[in-house]
Amino acid sequence: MKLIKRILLGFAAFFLVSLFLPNYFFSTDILNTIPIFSVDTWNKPHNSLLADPVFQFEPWRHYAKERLSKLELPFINDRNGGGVPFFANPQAGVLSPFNIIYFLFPRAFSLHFIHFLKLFIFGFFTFLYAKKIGVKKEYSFLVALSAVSSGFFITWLQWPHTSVFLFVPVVLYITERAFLEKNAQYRFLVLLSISITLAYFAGHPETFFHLLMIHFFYTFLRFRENRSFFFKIVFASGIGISVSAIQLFPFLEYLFHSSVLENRLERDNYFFLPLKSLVLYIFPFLFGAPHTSFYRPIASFTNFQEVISGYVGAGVLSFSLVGFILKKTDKMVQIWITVVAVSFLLAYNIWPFNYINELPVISASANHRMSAFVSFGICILFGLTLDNVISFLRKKISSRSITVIIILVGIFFVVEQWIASHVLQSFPARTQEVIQYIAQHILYILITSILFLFLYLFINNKKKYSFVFFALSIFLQSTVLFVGYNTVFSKQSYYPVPRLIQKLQSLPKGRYIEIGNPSIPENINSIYGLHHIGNDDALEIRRFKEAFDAEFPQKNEWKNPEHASLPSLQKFGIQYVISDYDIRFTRDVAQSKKSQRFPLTHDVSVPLVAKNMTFAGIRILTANHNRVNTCSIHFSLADSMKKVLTTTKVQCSQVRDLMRHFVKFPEVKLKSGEKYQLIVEPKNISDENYISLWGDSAGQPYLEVFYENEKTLGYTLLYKDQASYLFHVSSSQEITFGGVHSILSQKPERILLETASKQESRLEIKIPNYPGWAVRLDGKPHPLNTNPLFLSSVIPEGQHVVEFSYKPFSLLLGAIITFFTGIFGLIYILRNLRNEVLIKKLHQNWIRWVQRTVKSTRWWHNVIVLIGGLIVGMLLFIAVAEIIPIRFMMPETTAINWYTVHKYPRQQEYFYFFFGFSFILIITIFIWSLWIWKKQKK
Amino acid sequence: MDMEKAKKIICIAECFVIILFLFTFGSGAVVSPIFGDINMIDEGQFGAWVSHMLSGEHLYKDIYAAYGPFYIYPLYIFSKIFGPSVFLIRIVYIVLNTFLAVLIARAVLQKLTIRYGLELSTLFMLVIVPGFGMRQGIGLLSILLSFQAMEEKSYRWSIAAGISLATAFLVSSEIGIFTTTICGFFFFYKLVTAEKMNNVIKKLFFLLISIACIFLLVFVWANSEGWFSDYIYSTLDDLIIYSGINIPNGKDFPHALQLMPSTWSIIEWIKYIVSKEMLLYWLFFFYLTTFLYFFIRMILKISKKKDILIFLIALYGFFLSIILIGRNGHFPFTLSPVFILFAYFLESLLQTFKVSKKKYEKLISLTLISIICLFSFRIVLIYRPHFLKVLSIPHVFFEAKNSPKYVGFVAISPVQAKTIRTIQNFVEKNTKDTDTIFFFNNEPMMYLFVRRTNPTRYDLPEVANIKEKRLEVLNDLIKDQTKFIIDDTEAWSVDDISNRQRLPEVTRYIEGNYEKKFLDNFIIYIRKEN
Repeated sequence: MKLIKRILLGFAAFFLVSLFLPNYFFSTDILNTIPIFSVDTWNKPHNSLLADPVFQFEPWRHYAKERLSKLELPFINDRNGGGVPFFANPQAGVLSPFNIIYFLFPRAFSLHFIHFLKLFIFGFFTFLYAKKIGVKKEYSFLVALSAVSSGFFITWLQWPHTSVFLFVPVVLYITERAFLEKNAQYRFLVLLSISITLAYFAGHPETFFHLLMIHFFYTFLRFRENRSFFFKIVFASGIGISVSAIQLFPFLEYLFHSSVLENRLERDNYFFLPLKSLVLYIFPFLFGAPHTSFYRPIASFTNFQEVISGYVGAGVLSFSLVGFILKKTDKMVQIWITVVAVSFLLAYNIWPFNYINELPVISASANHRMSAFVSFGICILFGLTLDNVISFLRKKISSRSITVIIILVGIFFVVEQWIASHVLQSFPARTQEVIQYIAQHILYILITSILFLFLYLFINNKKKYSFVFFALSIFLQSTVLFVGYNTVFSKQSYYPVPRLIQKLQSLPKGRYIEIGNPSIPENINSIYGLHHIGNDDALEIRRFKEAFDAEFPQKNEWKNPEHASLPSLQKFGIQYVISDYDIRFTRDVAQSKKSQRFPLTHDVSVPLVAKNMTFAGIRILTANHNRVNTCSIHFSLADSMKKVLTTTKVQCSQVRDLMRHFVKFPEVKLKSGEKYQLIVEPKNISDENYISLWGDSAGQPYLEVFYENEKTLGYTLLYKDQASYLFHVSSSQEITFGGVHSILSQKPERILLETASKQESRLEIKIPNYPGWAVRLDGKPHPLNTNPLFLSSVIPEGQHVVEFSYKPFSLLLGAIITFFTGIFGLIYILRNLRNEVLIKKLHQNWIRWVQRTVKSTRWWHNVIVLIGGLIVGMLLFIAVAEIIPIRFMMPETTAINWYTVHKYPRQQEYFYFFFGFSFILIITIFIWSLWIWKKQKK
Repeated sequence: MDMEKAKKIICIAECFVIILFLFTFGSGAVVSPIFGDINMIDEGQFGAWVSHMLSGEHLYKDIYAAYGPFYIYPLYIFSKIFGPSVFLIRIVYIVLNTFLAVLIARAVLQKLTIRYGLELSTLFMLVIVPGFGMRQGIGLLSILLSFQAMEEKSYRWSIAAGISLATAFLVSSEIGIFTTTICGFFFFYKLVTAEKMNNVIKKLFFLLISIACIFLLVFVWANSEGWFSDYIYSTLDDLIIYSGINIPNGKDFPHALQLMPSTWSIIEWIKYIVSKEMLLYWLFFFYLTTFLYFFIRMILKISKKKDILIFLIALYGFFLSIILIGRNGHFPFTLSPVFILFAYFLESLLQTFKVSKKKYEKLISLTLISIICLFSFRIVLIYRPHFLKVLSIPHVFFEAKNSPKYVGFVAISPVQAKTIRTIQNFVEKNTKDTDTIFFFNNEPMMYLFVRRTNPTRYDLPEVANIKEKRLEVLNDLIKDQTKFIIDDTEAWSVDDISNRQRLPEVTRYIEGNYEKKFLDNFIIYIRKEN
């Protein structure tokens, strides 16, 4: 009870705080990286790594909320990829316990509350777990603090990874309690099952798999001598997994039909951390950090988030290592050092664990994120051994050694200052900044580490206030460093609506494709109610992706097609094209290499051979170095005689990082096959005011040349601005049929059409053909063509109603397993509840009460009270129904019956019947209970 | 004579009386199995199904049917033996069907140890109320057997309960769902409360095995005839359609406040209170009271073992009565559990009335007894057997001989006989045995009378009221190039919505491609030659 009270108190506190906090805990400023969101002004995003929450998780939450508010279960997301599994994608989090808050409450509140809640649950249960395994209360608090402010939890806070990971201390704590409380063991076994289920629903299968693996490993190490308990824990975990079958089965089906599984199995060592990143365990910002002024990824295949996951602070880490050496015979220390070691070896793919990483399933589970368990384990070790470490240090470290350390740090500081003022002057400004940044960071870590050491050496750890100082030492090495990593933004900055989106929203519904630069990338289209042909949900339907890639083979760094042909667009039913260039022009890649970035600080001349008559423009690949540049670039086209034929100018402020820039020239006639020169001249540049171009190692920029095309290509320009063009694609339809068709009703999971044709014709709907879709012709099952990419069926001549509906067997099977496992669990709980002391006591009291009551009441007294109660209940119901009349919408139907002829919504009667019946029943029971209570009092 | 023997004799005598009563008076639905006009819709459905099945068509695949195979196939088997007729339909669905259901009700009443007089009265009520048959009976049987299975040691009860539950599904999916839900709750309760859970699990295992066996047999049978998947689809389709806006036959629930008399005339108020519409409210009021009764008994810990059985029956009755939302015309179909509950309450009330010496207690008992009797009396008044008309039965032996073909030993009115003959003559004269005919109104019995098959699945075209089904009918007619479509201008329109209104695409097609010809009260549509 005490525990529940504390949890509820914590929830209530964060609930209240979230209610009053302004703005959104959400960083939509990353949208500035996309040109259409920064046509007028460009601001550097405060953290370039917070992309997934903006590009994936929030749009999915938004879509789920939108559908659920219409009382529709979102099994399919019709806004991406033509219609992709949505419920089956765990990261969409339709059943996530945290997303439920988002579905029920306003956005501003939810975004604060969800993240507070995650931190609170993780911290609170880490504290409880640490305490349970013998760590002192004050030290348990320090363990919780260091875990909550660890690199993993802070940098992944807005990801579902942490939503799952926070269940690690929960399941460990419950396992410990289950072992200790033998009389009420069933409670904890049930709680364990529930936690496992919730952890799965939280939305990240890989982290869930890691959690299961570590929990199993921990339970084995800890309770291997108590086999029956070990198997109970395994069984309870199994039940938890079974309950999650309703989503697990559709997910597995999606996984086996996805492109990701194959890709993962094919890649070698992609998912492991580089050993050089170990230095970040001590100096986390040695390569910069995305929320600070300097950041560079440690390796091309990884980023700050991944490599920082093991960070807990130099002090905590070193204390844990010393502690392990001092207390290595302790069983719990041994268990945790084993967990840490295994996680570490897996995350870094070190021999012999690299063989384990090659095993099936494990090889595809992103084991580099096991570093999160390293950091968690270090925190636990820290708590377990802190007393030993303190007494050891106090014995071993003399005041002389401390003086030496301080002097060394002082010397470092002096040297750093001297280098900064004397040596660095000759370096470019940016280099100076970076070196100073690193030096200051090292200094900060050294100083805080000394402080850490000092506090533990000199503060009396037996005093109650001591842990405040200890907490401060942890705080300085973790929380302080990550201040600003996740921040709040104004409500206005939440997915702004640029002009291009406004235009698209005003057009008839249709799916679009992005050519070239990202404009409205996959998933965020969902926020705006738009339909993108692409899908980026980390799974993707394999057959659809392969066909799409085959049809649009030229892809750029953003995985967007660089070019599209009209038949390809029509094949995928694409009605709109968003492009960074005018796709009606003929495109010729003059220089295709783009491996190097070189600063445009001098004139560049590129030779080109004319392929057509009318020169229209060029397209280059740019970099703005994540800053606003005020320079300008002059582009000229000259003939072989160096006579300038046409010229144009581009402001550097219009250039974006790793984006293509289309430069339109005043038209000029060229001679086909003749040689020309493109001259690029930077103007008004300085050290901190220039842009770069991507090109080959010889300094030749990546270059595409555009010529006027006299043929009509089937595109109509609908809109253009500095960053984008929007075209309509002619004769491209989402439904194709040889006869006449009309849509009777359309939802993502069900399309009802009426068709009429004079001969047998194929009806194709451009929704990817995925298991679970079925066709009905005039209400009867009809064959769905199995091979084609899209849903299609041959419809016989005549007039018909055709229904395409998504009813996956995997979902049905999962729901059945969930239901029966849930029932099994409920029976188990209720049977055990009967033996609870409290229940037994209540039962005895009940019997005593009944004995008194039965004696004092006559049966007909009850009858009179009941009849009175029923009359009161009925009158109240009539009053309520009259005062609050509820209006019902006429349900969607094609039926012609009494209800539809009289426009009478049938559900109204079900509502009034069930509500009325229950209302009267409850009121009568209430009146009878009141009467019997009064009678007892007398 | 020992008690057992006496009981057996009484039982045989009771059975004889019930059969005799059913044979002469019938149940409330018809005057008598051998007398009275044919109900072209309710009886007609069976006639059409049997006629089509005898022509080689299969249920669900070629014929739309809302009932389960176990409800239709017995008639088909009898028809194969004795030949199809209205008489046989009545013998099977009025005499045999009601008789078996009454036997089940009798078993339930005996389990509840209801006094003999009350038992007989209840059986009488069940016999006269129309629509009491094996559809409701199999639900009662499943509940009774499930209760027995959990109470008795022998696993035979579990096997019997499993067979019964599976049969309930195969008789009527609706009843199957209701009984499975109720029994599911009961088994759950037993799993939670039983001292030895293993025993319950063993019993459930046998029960599930027997369910699986029955379904397996049906699967093999249905698959060999090729209608299994059609059965599953049409069952699911029915369940969805009948619980939503697409229901073919349904109207709003009467509004008690709107029906209230505007005068203070006592007679008007009495009429209002005992009106057919208000009986629906009384029914739900009764269920409210029943649930409260069980609630108080549970709280005051005065429940007895048999209370569980009666509570399960009350739940079953409540579930059955939910179908009245939208289909309040089915009121009599839901009454059987009510009469069993009446018997149970009357048993207690009569006992109290007899034993009690307190004035108030006697008064309240008497009042409640009177209310139950009044309700029952009102039901009897509404669905009273046609006692006087039974005097005409001797005439049947002379008149039945002249009944139209396929009517059998049933005396019907000359008007109905003439109508049937008119159509029979027309069809015989103008069509061959292999020709199809479509009756556009809801008179499926005509298919039996003319022994022609329907080009569509729908013998009751009103059922095809959603677009998919309307177009299915239309396409079947186009494909079949049906020569004659017959429309009875005097046929009853369900819920006052005619089939012309319900199936506009079909109506347009008929009007565009057929020529009209009048034949008595029929319009004969003859296909135009292209």
